[in-house]
Amino acid sequence: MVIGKAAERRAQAFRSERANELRSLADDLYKSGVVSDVSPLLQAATECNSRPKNPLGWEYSLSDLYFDTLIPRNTLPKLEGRLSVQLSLSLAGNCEESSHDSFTELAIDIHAEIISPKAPKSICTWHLDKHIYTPDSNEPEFIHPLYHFQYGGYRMASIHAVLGQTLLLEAPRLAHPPMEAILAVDHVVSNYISGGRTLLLDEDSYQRRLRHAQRRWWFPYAQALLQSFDKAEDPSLWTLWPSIVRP
Amino acid sequence: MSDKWVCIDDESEAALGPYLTALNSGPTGIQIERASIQDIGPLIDGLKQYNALGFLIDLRLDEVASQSGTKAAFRGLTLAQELRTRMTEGEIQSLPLVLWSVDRKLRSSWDGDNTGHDLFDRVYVKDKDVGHNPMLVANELSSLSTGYANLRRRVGVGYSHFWKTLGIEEDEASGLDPRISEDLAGRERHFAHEWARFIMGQLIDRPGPLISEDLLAARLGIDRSKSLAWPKLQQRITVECGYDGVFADGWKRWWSHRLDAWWRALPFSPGPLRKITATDRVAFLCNNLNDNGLTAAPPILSGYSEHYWVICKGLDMPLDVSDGVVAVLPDLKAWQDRPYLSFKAALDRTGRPKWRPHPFEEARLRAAAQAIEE
Repeated sequence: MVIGKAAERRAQAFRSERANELRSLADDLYKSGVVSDVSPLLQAATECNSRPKNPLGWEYSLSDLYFDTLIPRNTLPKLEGRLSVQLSLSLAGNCEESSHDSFTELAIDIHAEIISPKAPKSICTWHLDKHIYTPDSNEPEFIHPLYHFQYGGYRMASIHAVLGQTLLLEAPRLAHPPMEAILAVDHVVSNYISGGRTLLLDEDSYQRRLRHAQRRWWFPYAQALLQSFDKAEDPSLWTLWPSIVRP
Repeated sequence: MSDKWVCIDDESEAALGPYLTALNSGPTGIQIERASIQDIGPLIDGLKQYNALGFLIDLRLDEVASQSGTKAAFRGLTLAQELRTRMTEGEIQSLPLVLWSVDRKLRSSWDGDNTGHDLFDRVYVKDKDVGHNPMLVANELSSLSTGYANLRRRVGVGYSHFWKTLGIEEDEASGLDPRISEDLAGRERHFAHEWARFIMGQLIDRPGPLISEDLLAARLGIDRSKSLAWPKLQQRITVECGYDGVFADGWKRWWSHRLDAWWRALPFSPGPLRKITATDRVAFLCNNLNDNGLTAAPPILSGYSEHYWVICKGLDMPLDVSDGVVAVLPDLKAWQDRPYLSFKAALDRTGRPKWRPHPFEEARLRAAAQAIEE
């Protein structure tokens, strides 16, 4: 397929814009003190801005962006120490895609841990990814929303022998709109860093960037969800929230 | 007068001669000519007559009288400032300025005060740097003068040649952080010594887009001292990732983004470097090279992670950022890597006074100290 120069230029502009968003996010996180080492975001930005194998595509990996914070109230077991949350993310997509399903690949790991002087390391991991449906794949045994959150995963599997009476199941897979780094960082800050979101939303640039990302990645998803109640004949909508009964 | 470095120093021939001889000897030696100390006006007029490759300036020019009994009424910093001003005004071409002195004088007169530090391209301790490794110093001086000659040609064309100076094309440079060159991009006039200071001070001396050999090895998880295959691997990586821009012959560096891309492009690459332990990185590389001569770098302490990405400034060992704290480094640019101290170095105060934990990291350090006490 011949790819036009104009399309390539638009794709490069898209990648450059996404990369600069990551750098600007890094600035806001560092200035606010929410994250002390923002280099994973800068690296992801460089990767995002370099020419990928698909000239009309974009991709990057964010490896271990660390957040350090107080242990939230009501955490069990009750431990002393601090909570460390590591965010990792890898995504790929097409630059000109702006639908409810904009990513060809998406995997996010949010790994929280407390290293306490009086107890072994305690961990809690959530994982968001995209389920890849193929034409010849069988109906999954359990419900699989296109983009879903799941508790546990391989990092918790490693401690399965010491889970006590805690049960680690693959289910439920909770439908959730896709997230790239801006949305994923906000998710972590909103859910794990006390006072962090308030601090960050004080920055105009953080607010603007977040609003823009929600509009770009979540609005089409929200629209598609609404449509899935009515447009039962559109199979691409079924996978967003398979719990919705098809007429 | 032929092309040489010009040395302005008040020390006697007996004191200075051995250093100059050491720098002059060997295949990479440089030629150095001494200028006689005078009042600053006549001295600068005299220096203009040299076809100098650079100026080697003593810190304290006002201590020892010359044979004619003249003692300078000014110090090296004053001379350097005057030379830089003349270079900016075009009276003298842009040349490297290097400060040297003995250790005790640098500590008493130089270390405590930052003013004037940006006048010099390099600072050498006579009794340590030149005394112990004159060939390294001579090579660096040679690289400085060659680099400056290159820069003088480039700045004449303008900012558009900045990335070419660093050995990369615009296309590749457009993928890097656009803030890297913003300081220079906005200027109306360009001077070789400003580009030199920026490249040396912000790119070569500080990790970020460029990394040094110890950081290269740390990111690959390798203990260089125990890896016989390291030179072979380093050579292979240098072909694709090596920095070959200005000053590369004096300071070996590698492009961080190219190392990332190189790793990802390896057959069966196991994913981002940062996500993999040193043991696994090394195992993969041994398999890839078909050579078992690489050894994984051990962690600083048992229980520390092997997901190395930085170097502990206190202990000079590879470190996962989760096992350390960010250290203070003034004037750090947003696109540069933060320096780190391992928890061990920070709590033992290793690396002080130069390296101190960042105030943002106080809470984490307290928690680490408490964990050790208990």
